[in-house]
Amino acid sequence: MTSAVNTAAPSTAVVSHPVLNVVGLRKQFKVRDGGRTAELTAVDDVDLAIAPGETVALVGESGSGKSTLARCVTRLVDPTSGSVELDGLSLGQLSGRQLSRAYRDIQMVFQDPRSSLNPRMTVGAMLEEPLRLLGSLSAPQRGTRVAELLTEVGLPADFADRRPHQLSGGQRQRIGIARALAVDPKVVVLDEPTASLDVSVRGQVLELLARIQAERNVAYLFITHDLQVVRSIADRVLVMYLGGIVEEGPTERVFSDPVHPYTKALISAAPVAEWGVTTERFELAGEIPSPLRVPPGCRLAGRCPVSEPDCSEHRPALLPVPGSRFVACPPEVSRRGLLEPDSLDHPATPAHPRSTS
Amino acid sequence: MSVALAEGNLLDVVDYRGGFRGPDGEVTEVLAGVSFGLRRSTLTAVVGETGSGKSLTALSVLGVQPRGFVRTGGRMLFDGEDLFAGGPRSFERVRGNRISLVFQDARAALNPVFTVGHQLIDVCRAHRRLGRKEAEQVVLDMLERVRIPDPLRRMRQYPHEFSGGMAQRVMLAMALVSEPELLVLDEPTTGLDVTIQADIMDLLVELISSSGLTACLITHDLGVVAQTCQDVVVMRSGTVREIATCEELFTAPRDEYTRDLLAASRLVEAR
Repeated sequence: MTSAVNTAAPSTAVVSHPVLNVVGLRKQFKVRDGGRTAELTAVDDVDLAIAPGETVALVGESGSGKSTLARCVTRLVDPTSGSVELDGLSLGQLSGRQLSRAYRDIQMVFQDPRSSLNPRMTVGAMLEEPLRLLGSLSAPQRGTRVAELLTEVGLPADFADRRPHQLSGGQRQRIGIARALAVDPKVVVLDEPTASLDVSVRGQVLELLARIQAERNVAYLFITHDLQVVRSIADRVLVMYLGGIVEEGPTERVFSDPVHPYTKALISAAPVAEWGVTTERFELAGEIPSPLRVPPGCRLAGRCPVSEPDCSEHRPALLPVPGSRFVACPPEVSRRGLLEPDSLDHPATPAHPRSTS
Repeated sequence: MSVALAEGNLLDVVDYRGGFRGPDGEVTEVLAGVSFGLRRSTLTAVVGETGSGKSLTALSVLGVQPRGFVRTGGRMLFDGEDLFAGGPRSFERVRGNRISLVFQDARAALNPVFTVGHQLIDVCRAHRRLGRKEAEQVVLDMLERVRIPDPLRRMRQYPHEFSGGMAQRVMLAMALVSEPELLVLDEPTTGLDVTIQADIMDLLVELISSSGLTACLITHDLGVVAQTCQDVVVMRSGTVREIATCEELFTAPRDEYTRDLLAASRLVEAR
């Protein structure tokens, strides 16, 4: 993780042996727009790499494409172009048995545990199903494994006989996590796993996830809009806006000193649960445009208070700035003198992604 | 917990009790003696987690309760008058006129088959003696006050053409056209993005302070509370756990549950 790799894709350069490596991912949907068929680009040329045991958070607001990205990564939907490599194996080329074998290594936890758990199945049957599909365990072994999984997520073993309606929201989400862990994956993609939970339960679920990661060295791709959660759990954070990554870096550095105007707006808008602590808001004009009308240059052009005429001409690339960070805002990077002089020759920056956590 | 009835509160909820009747006829109490007051021209937050009874209490202020809910005791003093004493009619008299409600999901609360302007004018004319033209003007002014760009064009549009944040502004406008004294906001920014939430809360605070409104904000988000409210009522399992000014609550919480809730909301510090 410490050696620099010189690759063309800057955002994947900070992780030298990624367990998950996404390059140039793009997803377009065909939609009806005022009677005509239009192409909606939900995810546009995204690079993303995660080291084993690392937690990477993907933050963004509605319409940023973060959930679509998660679905492409787990191949719940097929990306239009780009590659997803899982432990060196390209997911895009797999099908049938090979793909289902690859799914052992990548699993997903969904936002709403009420709709992602089958109401007619018992908890035990739901946890046993992936083990049965795996085919390597006998029935008694599977039973033992289900009990172990329940214990691992902090639930009593007799919960195996219950059905989802007999569980609280937090307990259901624990089952969702246990189901994802059943096949011993290397990567778990969590799509807003705490969004529907009360704050006290949210804390418990995050603690559980941290403990599981410490024990299993599993990597998390954490999709969320909750900046508190990002700050408490993520080693690195990627900020997404209208389908593209606008800023990326170690969590604490991004939070304490955001560079991209969108990141600033996002962080300054999050209310702090402290008396007398007011953050001065960095305000953007208007609202996020429809993903059918993404501006041709910088995606934020038109809303950004510091934009320059050139911003609406060219789509800015992610520029490396000191501290293993990347920012897609040339005016802000040069204004703050963050441009690394040799950045064009050596896009990679030696980094310790976990050093700040 | 007892609370002194302060002189001049716009609303006092006194020992409010109620529950749901089960199949055996027994009432399971979910509100176990809730008491708090709303000071005039003040934004008071009622915070709590799922099942705390915060929404149930707030909706009771408008006499709107879910099916099967039975009130077993208590008083609801609005401007000195007990709303429960007068039966359903006393609620009808104040609901929408003197007390307005803003719901959580604005797009679901608006009627999808009528234009936004149509709905706003309807509400306006139902509560105020205005002609069509006058009502149109009032609505237009109100949409400007809630800072909806291009309000004249927006009035002719349907709810599905509004983003979540814009729809919530419409809801606010709808709640305000009748010039109420009390505004009840049930999780008005839940489900909205943080930047939109901040915009809406800024607007709310400005509207409340400029018009002298009394408002009651039902929320689970202590961050929003710290940034906007003056008074806070903390609820849990149908009881009031703590009543404090916002400053007291965040700097010197007295109740153990409040402290837990604060710790859980400040994930980073607790790490």
